[in-house]
Formats: sequence, structure tokens, C-alpha cells
Amino acid sequence: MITKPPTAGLSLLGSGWITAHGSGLESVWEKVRAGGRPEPGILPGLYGRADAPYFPVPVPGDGGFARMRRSSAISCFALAAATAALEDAGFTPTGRTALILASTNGAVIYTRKFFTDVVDRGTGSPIFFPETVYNAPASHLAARFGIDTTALTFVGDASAGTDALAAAAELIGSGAADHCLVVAAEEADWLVYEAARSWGCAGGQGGPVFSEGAVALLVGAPGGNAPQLSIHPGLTAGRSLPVREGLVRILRDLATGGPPDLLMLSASGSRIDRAEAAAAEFVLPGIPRMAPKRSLGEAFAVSTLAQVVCAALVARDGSSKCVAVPVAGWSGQLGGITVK
Amino acid sequence: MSRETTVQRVPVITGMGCVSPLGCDTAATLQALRNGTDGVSGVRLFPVDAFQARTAGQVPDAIHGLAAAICPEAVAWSRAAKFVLVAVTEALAARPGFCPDVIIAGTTSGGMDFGERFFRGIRDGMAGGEARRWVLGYPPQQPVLDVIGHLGWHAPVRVISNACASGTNALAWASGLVRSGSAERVLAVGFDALCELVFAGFDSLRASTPELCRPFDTGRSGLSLGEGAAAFLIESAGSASAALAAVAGSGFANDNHHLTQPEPGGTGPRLSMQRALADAGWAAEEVGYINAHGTGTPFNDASEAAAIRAVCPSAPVSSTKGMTGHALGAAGAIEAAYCIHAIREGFLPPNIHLRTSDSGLDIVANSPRPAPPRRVLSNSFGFGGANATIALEAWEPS
Repeated sequence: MITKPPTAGLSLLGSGWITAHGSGLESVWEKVRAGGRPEPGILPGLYGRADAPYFPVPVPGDGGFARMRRSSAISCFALAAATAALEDAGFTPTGRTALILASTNGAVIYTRKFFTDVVDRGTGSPIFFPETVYNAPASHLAARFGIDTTALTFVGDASAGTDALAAAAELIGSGAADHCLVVAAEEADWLVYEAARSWGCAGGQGGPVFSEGAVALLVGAPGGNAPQLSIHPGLTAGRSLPVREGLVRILRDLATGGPPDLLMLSASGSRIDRAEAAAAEFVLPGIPRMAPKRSLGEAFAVSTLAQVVCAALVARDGSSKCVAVPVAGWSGQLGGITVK
Repeated sequence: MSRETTVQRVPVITGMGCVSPLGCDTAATLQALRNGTDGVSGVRLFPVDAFQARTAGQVPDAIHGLAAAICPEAVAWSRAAKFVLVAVTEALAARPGFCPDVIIAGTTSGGMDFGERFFRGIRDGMAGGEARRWVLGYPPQQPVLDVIGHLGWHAPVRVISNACASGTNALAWASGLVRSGSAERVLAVGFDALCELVFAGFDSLRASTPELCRPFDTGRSGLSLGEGAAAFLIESAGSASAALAAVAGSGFANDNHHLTQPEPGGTGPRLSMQRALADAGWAAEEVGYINAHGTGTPFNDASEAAAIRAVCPSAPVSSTKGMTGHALGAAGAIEAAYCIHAIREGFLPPNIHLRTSDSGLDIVANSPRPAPPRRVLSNSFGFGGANATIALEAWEPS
């Protein structure tokens, strides 16, 4: 059992996001802080099943990058957020810049279309299939930014976002890279909603509203005036370690250097929320809490990095000195980050 | 990854398990490798009448009984989860009590067979309870989560999905964590199970062959798909009393050329091999064997051959995919296991179905070659221009 105190550190040098509230760092943050809800859309139900409400994000263009002219929305979201993060940092990738992409559902729109064709017609389109691979967005981004060293894609529940940050810390800490562009991206599809409903994670009154988009962070070695991230190695909940107990351990570790003055929770309305709230109340009673997914929607790995951006914006405006970001994924993959 | 690693922190493999079309354990796998067994056969798992290709490397059906004997609950798991369970169990047999700090997995498809059942089910009006079972088993991380739940572990699971380089990426990443001191013990696993969606995908691209898979043959016509899993227990040399092999280094590269086609000159494979050699501190002449990615497609093999000619022109080379098919995210892990067998048993696995080759390489053609390689490279390349090479070495405790 590791559960070491968080030691993997990073500096957050630039951020960008493409959300249902828009894409400006400050303008989106204002809406999140005010608890605003975006205009909902509907993903029409298929096969006689229920429609799925969601917070849609307009798909950005391919930025004139010809290679992406047939790509699914997820790659366009990723490219737009990554470009915004690089602009925010005033940084151009070098030969010592790595790329880490995180996603929970990948290119689910093309995957569903491709397999529908296979089931209905016996064969699928060779245009769709290559874009269904989880690392297709990272491949496009690596080509766009000329990154020819490390480009890895991490998948999992919402914890894929923390996995990506941990990987960036490992690359930078070991000297393999100077900077890392960490991007999380998701695209909404009715199939994801139906899967979550079947899983018991969606569909009820007050349940999560799904969303999509991307968040990108340019990170470097710890130090300097930029927001500082410490990444917990994470845990996997299971029969002998309930989610609540796992989150208690993680929150205690995150508070090792002193209690945070704000919790940026991962709550989105799913059945996991109760365990997260109980763990927070047990370890850090009375600490103020925010739950940005209530405003931005549930977008899995994207939401995890959005929690980090929200925490960094709070830290930057001086209203909090240390923000703890617990991450509770629906598969029981747990993580946490502190932002100072 | 710095070369200033002390001997104490050299990552070594202290346990290994492998499930592939050549067998579900080390003994069966070794015998098949020595015999040059063709593990590719007609697809049994789903109808293939609509496809150009009709064959694949498939794990023996004995896997179901083996998995159920280890964990009765596994009868309800995805095919990939059963592979992971059997591979991890074999690995742990060599190192009782091993408990990893972190688990690094590589896969392209996770429990996709369950995803397919979910999709067909909702299309056909399936009830909610049954749908829940398929959904729970589908996510890419779930096969590993099933297995660590059985073992009672709570270590974090990190899943790399870098197309067909995933297995090598996972083994390299896991080794890097030990080498850097970020972890003491890591389980690395690469896995993928044959599924209809991916079979249809490669067929749609006309990348699969309706004939025999003939890596590096002048008349090669495409790949056969495969499946399986391989698991490795990785620790620092300083904490291990015995080991199967050492992970000397690794190299990653993106060729940024095309989503599915390799750069013809082999830039990505060349860079990944050169970076692996530099990371390991080896000269090219020291490489005693290369397990090539060698899918049997015209473009891949030409690109990889160009890269090997540029980097290690005299090294013996074989692709074992003629025997196994291409196991995608599992391929790099399975082939690393074959490399460790080669190092320990003193033979080079054969590149079967070879008639003539214009690769310009020293291909280990059709029959195993007796040789005691001490230092080997294993290549894995994937969609998106993802290239990865791992350097494995005989381990002799000082």
C-alpha cells in the first residue's frame, strides 16, 4: 500500500478550457463561481430509449490543420484547449516538451457510428475506424505541435486526469522532459448517457448532467510564482476499501502539510457524491466546498482537470492559499491534488 | 530517464506470466516457440462471413477453465479480464507476497467484447439488469480492476492506451517508475482480447490478410489479428534476490506522419530504437536479437526494416506475429515475454511463413535459431505514429 503523502510536484504555467460556459478562463470561472448552469441540450434517445439531457459545447474548427479535417469532435476540443493553454503560458513546444492526453470515453461518437454500421451492414467505414483509437487526439496534437518524443494517452474513469498529471510529474521529475502539455478531452454521445444510466450513475432526479469539451494545462518543474500542484499517487477502492474510506486516506494525505482552506469536490450528482461528502466532513469538517461539475456538467477526465483549473484560479486571486481537489471516479479509482 | 541510475535501482523482472495463442503458461509457450507453431486459425468468437479476413490468433479455450479455477467469479468477467487474471497469477507464483505500489496497464480495447454486447443489447431491447453487467465490464481499466479486486489490492491503476505500442509503453513506464525511485514494486500488464469491432476495423482498412501472415516476406499481404496478455513484476535490483531479466532502457517516438501509415523512411522506429539504445547505454553491435513489430503489412515492414538497417544492421530479427497474430495492446508485453524466454533459454524465436525477403535483414527464418542473446530489443508501433522500443538484458546478480 503506498498512499504516500503527495510528493509529485508541478508548476502550472498555463491553462485553457473549452466548456459549455465558453472558453475564457475568467469568464467561465465567473459563471462557475456564480453557480450558473449552461443552456441544456438533448441527445435524442436511440432504439426507443430515453433522451439524454446534456450541456453541449460548440465544436471548434480544426484550426486549419488539414490532418484533422475528418477527426471526431474530441480531437477538435483537445486542439482548441491545448492552443489556449499554450497561449496563456506564452509558450511554444520544444524538443523537450511531452504530451499527455487523458480521456474516459474517447471518440465515442465515431465508435458508435462505426459499430452501428458493422451490426447493420456487416462492415464499417475506414474513415471512422482510425479515429476511434484512444490515442487519435494525442496523435493529432503531437503532429500539430511537432512533439516527436513522448505522447501518451491515459484512460480510466475521472482519475485519468490525475493519472495524466502524475505522468507529467514523472517525466519532468526524472529529467525526461522540461515541460508537459496535459490535455483531457471528451465528446458527448447518447451511448455514454445510456451506459451511465444502466450503471446506476445517471438518470435520476438531481443526477449528473453530462457535458463534453477539453481542458489543457502546460506544466513544468515545481518552483517559481506559478500555482503549485502536488499530485497524490491515488488508490483503488474495492470490497475491502470502500470509496469513503479511500477518500478519507487521500484527504488526510492532502492535508499533511496543513489543512486546505477550500475543497474543490468532484461531486456531480452521482451515487459517489455521498461518500465524497462524508469523507470531507470526517477529515476536514467546516472547510468550505465547491463542486464545479454542478455548473460545468460531468465530463469525466475533463472535469478533473477543470477542478484543477478552478482551484488554480482561486489560488491566483488570493482568496485561498491551498485548495484540495479530491477525485472520485465511478470505477472506484481515487486520486487527489493540492493546488497552492 | 537518466543514465545515472545506480545498479541498485536497475529495474528487474522478478515474475512473468503470459497468455497468447501459443499457450496459457510458460511451458506451453516455450514449446510452441521452439516448434514454430502457427497459432492463427479460423475465428471462433463471432461471424466473419462479411469480412475479407477470416482468421486470427486466438487464446486456447482452456483459458476459461483456468480463470474459473483461480477465481470462480471470473466466469462472469470479460475475455480480457480472464487473460489478465491468468497471466498475473502465473507471474505472482514466482514471487509470493508481491504487492505493487502501482499498476501500469496497456490496452487498446479493454473489455470491448462486453461493450459490443451492451450495444447489441440496448438495440434489441435488453433489460436493465443485463445491461448493467455488460457496462460494468466494458471500460478499459475494468479487466485490471477485476483482477486486483480478486487479489485484495488497492494500488492505483494507470492505463496507457497508445494503440499497438501500449504494451511496450506500459512495461517501459513501469520500469521507469522503479528506476526513478517513484515506486519500489510495479505490476506491468499488457492485454487485449479479440473483438468484432476491431476485427471489422482492420478489415475495413484492408490491413488484414485473407492469406497467411508473412512478416518481412516479399509477398506479404497483411496482418492477422491476435489476442492475449502478459504480466511482469518489476522491482529494483537492490531489493530482488533473483530475477528473470533486467529492463535496461526504453525509447518512445512519434513520427507525426499519418494516423494509420508509418513514415516510409522509418523515422519513428529509428528514433525509438536509437533512444532505447542510448537509454540503455548500449552500442548497436551489442544487440543480439530484435523482436520486430513486423505485422506483415507492406508499409509497416518496409518502414521498420529501413529503421533496423539504419540502427542495428547486423542484429538477428524475427517477428513472432506470424505465429500469434497481432495482439494490439498486448503485443508488446507478449513479445517482451518471448524475448525473455529467448534470453534465458538460448534460442531466437522464428519468423514463420517466410519464403523470400527483400528486407535486407538477418531474419530468423521459419525455424528457431540456437543463440544466447544477452541484450535484445523489442519494437512496438501503433496508429497515430506511436513508436516504442524496450531494451531487455540477461540479469546476473553482482
